[in-house]
Amino acid sequence: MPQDQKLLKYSSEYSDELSLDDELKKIRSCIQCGMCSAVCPSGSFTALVTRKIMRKALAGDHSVLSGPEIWYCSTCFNCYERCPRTIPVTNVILRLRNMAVREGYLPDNLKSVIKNLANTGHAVPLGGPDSKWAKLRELHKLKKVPPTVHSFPEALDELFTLLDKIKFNARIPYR
Amino acid sequence: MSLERPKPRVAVYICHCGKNIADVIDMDEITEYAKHIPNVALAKNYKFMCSNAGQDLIAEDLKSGKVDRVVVAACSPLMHEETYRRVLRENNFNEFFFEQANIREHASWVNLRDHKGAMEIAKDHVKMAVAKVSNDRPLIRQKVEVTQEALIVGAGITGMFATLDLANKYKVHLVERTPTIGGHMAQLDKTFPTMDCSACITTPKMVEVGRHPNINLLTYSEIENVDLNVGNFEVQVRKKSRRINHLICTGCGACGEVCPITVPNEFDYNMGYRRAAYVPFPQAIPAQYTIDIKNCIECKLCVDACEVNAIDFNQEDEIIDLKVGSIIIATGNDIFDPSKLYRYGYQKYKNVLIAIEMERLLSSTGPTLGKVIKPSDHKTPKRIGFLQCVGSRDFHEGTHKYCSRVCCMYAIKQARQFKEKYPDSEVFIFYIDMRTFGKGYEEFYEIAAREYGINFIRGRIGEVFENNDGSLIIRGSDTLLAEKYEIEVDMLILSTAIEARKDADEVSRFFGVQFSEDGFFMEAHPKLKPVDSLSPGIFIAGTCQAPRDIPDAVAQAKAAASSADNFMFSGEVEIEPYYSMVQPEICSGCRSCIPLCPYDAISFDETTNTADINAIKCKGCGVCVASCPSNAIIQNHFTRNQILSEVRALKPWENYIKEN
Ligand SMILES: Cc1cc2nc3c(=O)[nH]c(=O)nc-3n(C[C@H](O)[C@H](O)[C@H](O)COP(=O)(O)OP(=O)(O)OC[C@H]3O[C@@H](n4cnc5c(N)ncnc54)[C@H](O)[C@@H]3O)c2cc1C
Ligand code: SF4
Ligand code: SF4
Ligand code: SF4
Ligand code: SF4
Repeated sequence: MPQDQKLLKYSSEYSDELSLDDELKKIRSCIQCGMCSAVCPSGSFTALVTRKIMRKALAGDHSVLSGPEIWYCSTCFNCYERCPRTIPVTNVILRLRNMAVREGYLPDNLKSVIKNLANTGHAVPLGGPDSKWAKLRELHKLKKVPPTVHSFPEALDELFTLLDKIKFNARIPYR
Repeated sequence: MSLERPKPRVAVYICHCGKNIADVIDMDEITEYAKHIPNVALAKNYKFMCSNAGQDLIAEDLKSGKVDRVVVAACSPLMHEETYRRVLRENNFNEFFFEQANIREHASWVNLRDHKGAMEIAKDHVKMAVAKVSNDRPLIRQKVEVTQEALIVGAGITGMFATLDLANKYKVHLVERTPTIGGHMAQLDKTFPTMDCSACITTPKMVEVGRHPNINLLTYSEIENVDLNVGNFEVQVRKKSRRINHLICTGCGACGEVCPITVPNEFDYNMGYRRAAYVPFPQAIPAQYTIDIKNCIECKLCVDACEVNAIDFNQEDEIIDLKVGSIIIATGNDIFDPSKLYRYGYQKYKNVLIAIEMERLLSSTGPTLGKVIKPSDHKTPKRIGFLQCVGSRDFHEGTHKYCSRVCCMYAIKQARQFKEKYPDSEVFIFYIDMRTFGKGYEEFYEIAAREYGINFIRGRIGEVFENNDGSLIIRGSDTLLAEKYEIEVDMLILSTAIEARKDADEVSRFFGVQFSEDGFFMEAHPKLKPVDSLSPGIFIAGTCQAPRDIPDAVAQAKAAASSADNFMFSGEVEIEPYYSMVQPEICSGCRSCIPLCPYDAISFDETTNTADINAIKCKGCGVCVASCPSNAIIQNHFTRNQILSEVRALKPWENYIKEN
């Protein structure tokens, strides 16, 4: 067999980490029945196959973190409700996202969301006093600029302090 | 008074079998057809003939005096022949004036899409049954006295439980081939799914068997000969010489200590050693020693060492004659030898073991006292793998098509035991399907995954390679991810198949029991007679019938014991009157039938110079009838005339004869 051929290397790294939490530990008893995937609405339109996510996490397959699939979950909790082994599938996916971000994986469109948050304090910023959001606010008799970081830019420093504390910039560079 | 036999008046009943028959075969048409067959006095159809109402229908017609013979066209006679015969008996008719035409298995079920064809076949069957019943003769079942003692062959967990159950009522002879009772279960360390220690539940039972006043325990013994007289089986047992007088031996072990010969111990699957003077394991029953003649060099050091003078080098094999009323065969199973599956490297790579060897390594009384070590360097392995279905679920020559039922569970058990001993280790189970069907089994499996962190990888391993240090590279495909993988493990355990004993055909010949396709002994009916053999009074139980676990083996043991009890308790048994008879005035004395009888039922009468059939031993197989060159043998209920009447009922057949 040629050396460069891609071979799966098993590792319990991810399942060990998930198992630190008693609920998430249940992933180990996944029987690959596929029910979670059968009811996943997002899976009908995207490459998300929750069953495969579970299997890859158990096998320690790195692509579960580096690939885009875990980000397609809309957190509707359909899978969570149905899994016959009562595995909190959605929560496992959320934890896998945490683990992915820790290793620096995040799809580009989500990176811009992080940048927005870090730079404006809003995942969906107002976009200036003349933006369509500002006009909408005015229509509803609200202050054009909300009493948030948009009004108090000095609060951004506090956000930076928090993000620095968890070394966020090192994972997802936003500056 | 006319000497002519009165014309038979046959009642024909067609059963709908719910919709099983009626959906395919038009009931009105076939009933109408039946009415016109010669000798038929009436024909009816009913939804379920076997129901009470159906049986009453027959009873009423019999009582009315209009009919005297009965044909039921329904399911297989294996299913309900006895039901309908009873109706005749209860209404004072001879029960052999009855025939069952099987129009379900033979006509409707096999022609679901061809109703016309099904009808044609069904009509033929009914016609043949009417012809046969018209020619049937009344027969009477003979009664013979039954000896109220039982023989159990094989003292594994199955044989021991059957023996203990019967010994409360009867004298029981328990014959075991090896020097100790216990079978495979004695070799196990713990048992799934409860994880109780195997020895803790087996040894008290072994002691009970050894001490019970009603049990005649014959270990180190073999069946020598069996005379298959139903209800009075005559059995010869060879009690092999142990060169030690068991009435005197105290089991002190002094002989074993001085014995200079060391040989691999079969009980530990040759991983430990024993002397030529030995007990297989410390809790063996009987606890007395055995000198293994094959390996003893006759130095006789033991003779001096034995303080009670129990050793007797002149002791000879003893032949013991038994007469018993029923027999339970519980000879257990062998374990598949995977060395022919060279790709897994058993006996080629040092660190590839089979599960029963792992069982001995895990056992606190095993050769390593419970420490799991690699054969290559005697160090404890850090990563181990279990490969499932080795020799099972495989359609190659030399392997087995069936699932062995216990290996999924014992692999999980051993994996859990290993993890308990070595929590930092990594364990992989390579499986096709995890089959955890029993009570508490799925839960056992789930905990193994969740709490023990055992890795279950779906897919059969393709190849195994050995590294220089003895570790192994396993190459397979994760069928759930459709990705190839390579894993390095320190040790690989093969979950090998449960298979029929290599000498099963010898046992089958002794006792006249049949084999299924898979090599195990065949039950009389897979659902309704699971522990009966086809020979009355002989029962089968445990893993000699099919692979199974201990709970199922014990359940069968108890079922067989209760069936044997049922067979013996009234003191007499009825023999089916189907036996064959030699007509001495026709027999030419050629003796050709004698060696053909599978039940040894034919002898030769030197005074009359004719063959003679023992009605009690004869099972009515008909082999001799067909073989006799003089047509001298008649078989009751299947006489030449009766069979030809069925054949003649088929017109197309006659045409066939004419044309050819
Ligand atoms: C590795 C392994 C692990 C297992 N673990 C478990 C477990 O944890 N739990 C569980 O429920 N089951 C387990 N099983 C299954 C269990 O071993 C069997 O269900 C059980 O032992 C069958 O008992 P038996 O008495 O029918 O047969 P056996 O144990 O094979 O006993 C048959 C006896 O008959 C004797 N014999 C054979 N031929 C003759 C002859 N011609 N004349 C006289 N005597 C004869 C033999 O010497 C033997 O003593 C395991 C099996 C294996 C292979
Ligand atoms: S539903 Fe549960 S058990 Fe089934 S594949 Fe999904 S996570 Fe696994
Ligand atoms: S034969 Fe003698 S020495 Fe050997 S165990 Fe028996 S009593 Fe002891
Ligand atoms: S019990 Fe499991 S390992 Fe054994 S043959 Fe069946 S599926 Fe394979
Ligand atoms: S029918 Fe003949 S061959 Fe068959 S069991 Fe009877 S005597 Fe033997």
